[in-house]
Amino acid sequence: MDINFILNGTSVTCNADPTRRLLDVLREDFRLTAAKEGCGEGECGSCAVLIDGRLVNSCLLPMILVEGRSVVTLEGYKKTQRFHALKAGFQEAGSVQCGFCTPGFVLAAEALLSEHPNPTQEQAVIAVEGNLCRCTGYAMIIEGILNAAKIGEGLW
Amino acid sequence: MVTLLPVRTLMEALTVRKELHATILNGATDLMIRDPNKQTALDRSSASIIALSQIDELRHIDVDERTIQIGSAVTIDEILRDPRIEEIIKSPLRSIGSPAIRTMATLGGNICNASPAGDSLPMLYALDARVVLASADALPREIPIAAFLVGVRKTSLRSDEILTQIIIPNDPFSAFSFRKVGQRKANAISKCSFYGAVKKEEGRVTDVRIAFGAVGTTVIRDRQQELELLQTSPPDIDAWVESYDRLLRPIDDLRSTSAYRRRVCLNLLRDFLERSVFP
Repeated sequence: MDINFILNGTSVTCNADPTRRLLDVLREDFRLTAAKEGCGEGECGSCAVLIDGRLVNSCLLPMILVEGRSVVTLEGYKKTQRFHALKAGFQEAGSVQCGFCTPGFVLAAEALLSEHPNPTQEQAVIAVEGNLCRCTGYAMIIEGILNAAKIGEGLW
Repeated sequence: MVTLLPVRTLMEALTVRKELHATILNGATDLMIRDPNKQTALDRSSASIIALSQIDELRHIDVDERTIQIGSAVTIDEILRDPRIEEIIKSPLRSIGSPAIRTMATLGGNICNASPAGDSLPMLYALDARVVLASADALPREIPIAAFLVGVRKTSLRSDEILTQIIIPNDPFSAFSFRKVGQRKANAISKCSFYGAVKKEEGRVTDVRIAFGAVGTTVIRDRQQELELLQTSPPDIDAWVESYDRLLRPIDDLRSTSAYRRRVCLNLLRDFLERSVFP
């Protein structure tokens, strides 16, 4: 069936089985590969994207639930000033090691900052609790998010 | 390939449910998990599915003096954001999954999934929640949560019914305690969980609710026991804990052992009694 949605600001239509995963549609049909398949069962957050501004795991999202909604992947988010604040914050803290989990962490940080522009450390920890980093750089990632909130003050 | 039946109203959904026994898709966070053969529960179930998320009638939260009514397609995140809903209900919901899961997952789904470890369930049992089950041909029936959940992954939902609403009495409690024991804080399936709530008037304990998750095929709660214990005076905490020792039915599985679950649950009960009920 035809499923219409907004992808990184552009209206798109894709012909997909309604239970096909958003993750597969993004990577295979649209060649957007920032969202990664880590666990494939909602445990690791490497496939996280934003739907109407809220964080979701695209590996658990059947296309039927995407109809009419706005999806933002890291490819789209990269074009925003907010992304550049997060990038700078992450660079300053050394938040990126192998980078596999980073797209998910960046979008989890966006979901947090769009709601709490000046988050506490605890709020930042909760915001990324569903994201796993197997290089285990959690302290640097939390620091990177808190840096970004300062660097990008006024953007959120 | 499964067929999606587009439904926009509850009546349409009920008609499709009756005629085709269509599988109900809510937030999809449990149904989309694949087995080792890369099949999801949707692939394995009936060929037709209906998605509840676009049915406006199921997306409301209504709060009045007597009850809190939550539509079955309301997400966990939406409940957590609602300022009218108290922490006594929100606390266990915060422990479900992770932020990304809570964006999609629904309270209706957590109930219908009927896992012994469902994290909303001890709270719903303890607060005497009821569920509304609608069908195309009959009036909706409203039953206690304990009558709805009948076993591991088993509910009393009939093949023509849809769970439309969760009704929680808007009762004032003086204190509550929810404790989830899992391997990590987020995205953990509970080894066991405890929920307790207490009402006090002028320092006197007038009601107490005690429920345990993941130590039986469904939530363990016994109203009779609560009432009997309330009548014993002076209160004997050891006797309370011992009486619950007899009710718990934990098992050994990949997440924990029976002995650990029993010990932890009884310790959590004791902690609740000592801190919140008879401090």
